[in-house]
Amino acid sequence: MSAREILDMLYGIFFTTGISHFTWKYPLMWFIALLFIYLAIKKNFEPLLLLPIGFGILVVNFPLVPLMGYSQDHGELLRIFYHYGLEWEVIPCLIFLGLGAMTDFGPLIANPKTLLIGAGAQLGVFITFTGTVLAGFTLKEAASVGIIGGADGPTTIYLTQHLAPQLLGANALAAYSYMAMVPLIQPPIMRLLTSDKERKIRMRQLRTVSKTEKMLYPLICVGVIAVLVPSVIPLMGMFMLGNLMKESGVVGRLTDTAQNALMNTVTILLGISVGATMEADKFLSWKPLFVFGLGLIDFAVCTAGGIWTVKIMNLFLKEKINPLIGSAGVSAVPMSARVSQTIGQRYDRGNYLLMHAMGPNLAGVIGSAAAAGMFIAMFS
Amino acid sequence: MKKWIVLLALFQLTLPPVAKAEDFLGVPVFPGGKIVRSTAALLEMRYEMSAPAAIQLYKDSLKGQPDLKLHESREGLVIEDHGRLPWHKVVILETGKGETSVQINKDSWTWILGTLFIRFVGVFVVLMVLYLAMAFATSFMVRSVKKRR
Repeated sequence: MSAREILDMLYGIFFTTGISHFTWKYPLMWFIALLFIYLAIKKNFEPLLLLPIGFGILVVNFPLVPLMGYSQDHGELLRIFYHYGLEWEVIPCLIFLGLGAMTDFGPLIANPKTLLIGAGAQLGVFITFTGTVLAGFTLKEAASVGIIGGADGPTTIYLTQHLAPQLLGANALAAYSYMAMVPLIQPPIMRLLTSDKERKIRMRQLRTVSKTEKMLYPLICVGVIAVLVPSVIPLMGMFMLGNLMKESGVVGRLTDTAQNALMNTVTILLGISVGATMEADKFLSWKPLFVFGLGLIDFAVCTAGGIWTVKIMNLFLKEKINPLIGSAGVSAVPMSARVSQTIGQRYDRGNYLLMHAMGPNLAGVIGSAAAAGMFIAMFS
Repeated sequence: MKKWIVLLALFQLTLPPVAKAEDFLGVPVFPGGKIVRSTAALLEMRYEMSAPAAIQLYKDSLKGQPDLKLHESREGLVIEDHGRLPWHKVVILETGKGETSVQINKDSWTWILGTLFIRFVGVFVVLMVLYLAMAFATSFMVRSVKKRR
């Protein structure tokens, strides 16, 4: 073997490594990935999602890795997860099944007025839509970006997949990132929009809700949603099925699977699939970065929308509602409800807002699904 | 021969690129129409042709645009742009007497804000209906429990 042949061979081997295809974009994406992993591990921000998302970002941002492409007429590993899970909208619906099986609608049933807060908190969704159109996005893209403020990951994925699949990665990442950052984003807005007196409003303890009411609720809800916004029934139907399974108490095994094994499996697939969409070439352009920036404003306006709705409601109510629970109208369950509790207790140690805040929090889930349904209806 | 020339001329008229139609905000304006209204944001034309022919003409000329939504009805067709085109909608309506009206509207913020407002209110309506349904179910159950007691 001649020296030339050996050099050719080494050259060939070199070209099959990633080193020869390396660009400056990769280290930037690694930084983003490591930031997500750091936030998950060190700061405990939504670790169940940010950890697999961060890892997904990291692993796809190496040259030549066979993960998100197609080889030999079939998708590569993460492409398959992405295709069947997200593009086919299976994962968001399964997540909603699991969420439903974990949800107690008691606080919402006990104080159904709080449903309106969930609607008010969708304000940012519609305001961001306008801003996004102004920035040059199409109406469909604008709708899919707007829904980020609803702080509902599965709904964001579901709507984006329907209207602007090219933004799926950016939107999902923004939605989950901001959900994870609820404890950072919401408190300043809550303090800014409420007075000291308002923060100290104590609410009457919620009545006990019977089992029959809890079983009836998912059936009523699914009926209303199916009639008024049928396009989101795959999501809400699964949500209510999960809840009915839990409340009925007769399918313990199924409920347990939906709450644990299924939910955990789907969460892993969701996280890594979302992360894997963030390939450097796709992510490092103005649109995804703009979506990420706008998502923050969206989220802030939704938080404000919830608080303002409570303030408007208080003008007409004898028994006042603490506006701090308005911020829970975004559907980051249960984190935003916990934030209401924490901020409330900072001003009045004996004020327990958690259960009151769960009402708008759950209403936010339904509200953001309704908003998504409105958008789907607009374009279908 | 004359017949063929006339047919060819007519055929050319139905082919927008060949007919070299003018445009309003990027929507082709076919020759032979009478201008009814013309402002910077709106152009309304009347054509002596049937609505189906006009509809077909516009469908062909706008083919390939990715974000168009078509609402067909018995009276005509509304083509709406959901993308980034400078026009918002083209309304093609049969006016009777063999005439068809074609109205081209500029991209409209009134429409965008209006539809957003209505949809925001729609979210309230959905949750309000849910609230009423829940309130009704709860009061019904409370009454039945009281009766049983």
